[in-house]
Amino acid sequence: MGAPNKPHEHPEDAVLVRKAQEGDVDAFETLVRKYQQAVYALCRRLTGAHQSADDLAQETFIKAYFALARFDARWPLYPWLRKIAVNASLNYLKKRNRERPLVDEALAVRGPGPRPPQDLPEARLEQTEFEERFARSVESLPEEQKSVFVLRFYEGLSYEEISRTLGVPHGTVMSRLNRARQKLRALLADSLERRV
Amino acid sequence: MRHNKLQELLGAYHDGELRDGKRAGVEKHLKTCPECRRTLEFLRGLDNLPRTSPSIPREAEYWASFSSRVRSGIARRQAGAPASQVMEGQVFKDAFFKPDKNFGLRAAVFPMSLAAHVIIILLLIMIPLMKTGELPKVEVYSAFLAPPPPPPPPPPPPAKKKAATKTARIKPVQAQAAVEPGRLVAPVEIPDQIAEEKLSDIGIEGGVEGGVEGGVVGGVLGGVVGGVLGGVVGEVEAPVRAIGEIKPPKLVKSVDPLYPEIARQARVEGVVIIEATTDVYGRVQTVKVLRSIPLLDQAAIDAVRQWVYEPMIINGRPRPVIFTVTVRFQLRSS
Repeated sequence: MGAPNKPHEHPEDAVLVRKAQEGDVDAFETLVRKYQQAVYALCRRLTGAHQSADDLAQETFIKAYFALARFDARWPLYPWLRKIAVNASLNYLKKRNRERPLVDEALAVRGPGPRPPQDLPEARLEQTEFEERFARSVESLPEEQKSVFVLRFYEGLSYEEISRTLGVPHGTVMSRLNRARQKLRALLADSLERRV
Repeated sequence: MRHNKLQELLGAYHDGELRDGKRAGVEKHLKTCPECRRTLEFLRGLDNLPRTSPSIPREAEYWASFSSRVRSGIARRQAGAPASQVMEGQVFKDAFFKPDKNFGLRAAVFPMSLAAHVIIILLLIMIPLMKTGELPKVEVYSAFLAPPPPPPPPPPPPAKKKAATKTARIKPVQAQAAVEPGRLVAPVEIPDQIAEEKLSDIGIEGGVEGGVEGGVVGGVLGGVVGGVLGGVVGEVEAPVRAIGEIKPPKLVKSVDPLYPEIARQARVEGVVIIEATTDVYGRVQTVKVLRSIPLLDQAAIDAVRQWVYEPMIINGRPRPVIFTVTVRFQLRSS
């Protein structure tokens, strides 16, 4: 039950990682290009705004570069990047919660998002609207539930992997995921009934 | 298994995270519970939703420039200006440094304010405690009431003849100091001067008998009652009570009582009734409070002690009298 955008490990990653560890910035840039979308998407889903996601994705790669020496090249790279990105995003969210006003601003500025072109067929339009709404519902989840749900739904991780990434017990992952799903069900009740 | 418990397991069941035993339980329950089946449907529907990528403004350019921005970020930080660290530092500063300073200040001020509070509270408690000291003092006054009337000093019976004592005694009446007269009569001097006079003066009264008898008897007994009596026949004359026929003696000299300050401030008014005993000369000898107003008693006693009455003469002899005096204390109402 893997998520569609889960990157597959490639043996060439290991080569590139070793080169980067020896100080080859070009090799590292290749890796960045390879994983930039995935890392960005993860940050975006956790924080909900383009600007913060951009900052966090950049930060993730910069941190990864300087921590690369401690990384074992035999292991797949992406889970490691993911862990850095999740930690950075959660830290960012904690900080943002301390500075309340920014939350409202971010939500207000984003608004309903860009309107889709009018010439789309109605079914497509409805689909887009629903996706929009779904994304906003996920964003509205409490941080701890959101991180579990994002890791499960978008990253396709097992409970065990989520538990290791977030550093919380297995049972907590299960209960948080349950609560997140229940909330989503309540938020999306009407349109989901139609779709499901 | 209970429905509520199973609802929690449904997610894990759907995710394939349940062990065999529990999975079998859930499956069994699902067959009988339509609600759980709907929940499971929802979970499946949720999973089937497409994972759409978030929309990014000018996406192509963004991705093209992303890796080079990472690169320049790395270069900046290698150059020793860790941009994000600086930024983090600032955020950190905003979040913590100021509160830290305030905290230090508060930590310094807190003990001082605590001490100040304690001192103020102690003062508030102790000042009233010290002030109340005034009322008990009044009681002390009244406690002194008893001691003042000391036993009248036994007048030294120096005079061999009553005449001598008599004249000597009359003078103190004018002096009118209540306690002093007995002492003032210095026995050493008087006999010299009066020795001559006595013959002319009281030879009649004293008579021959008195001269002989009284000299011995009166000298001893009369000490209390008065040299005069002793001088006569040596009879002990008890004070007469001014009741019925016997009218209280006329007041010759009165001294106004001083209104005690504490009573005035407390607005204590009233009547103090005193039983006064005069000696044969009309001087008030002893007083006894019959009706007491604690704050006013002493003032009344002090005043009455200085009063002088006309001597009461009964059967041609002056007698001590006991009678009551009423002293009225009244504040002038303004």
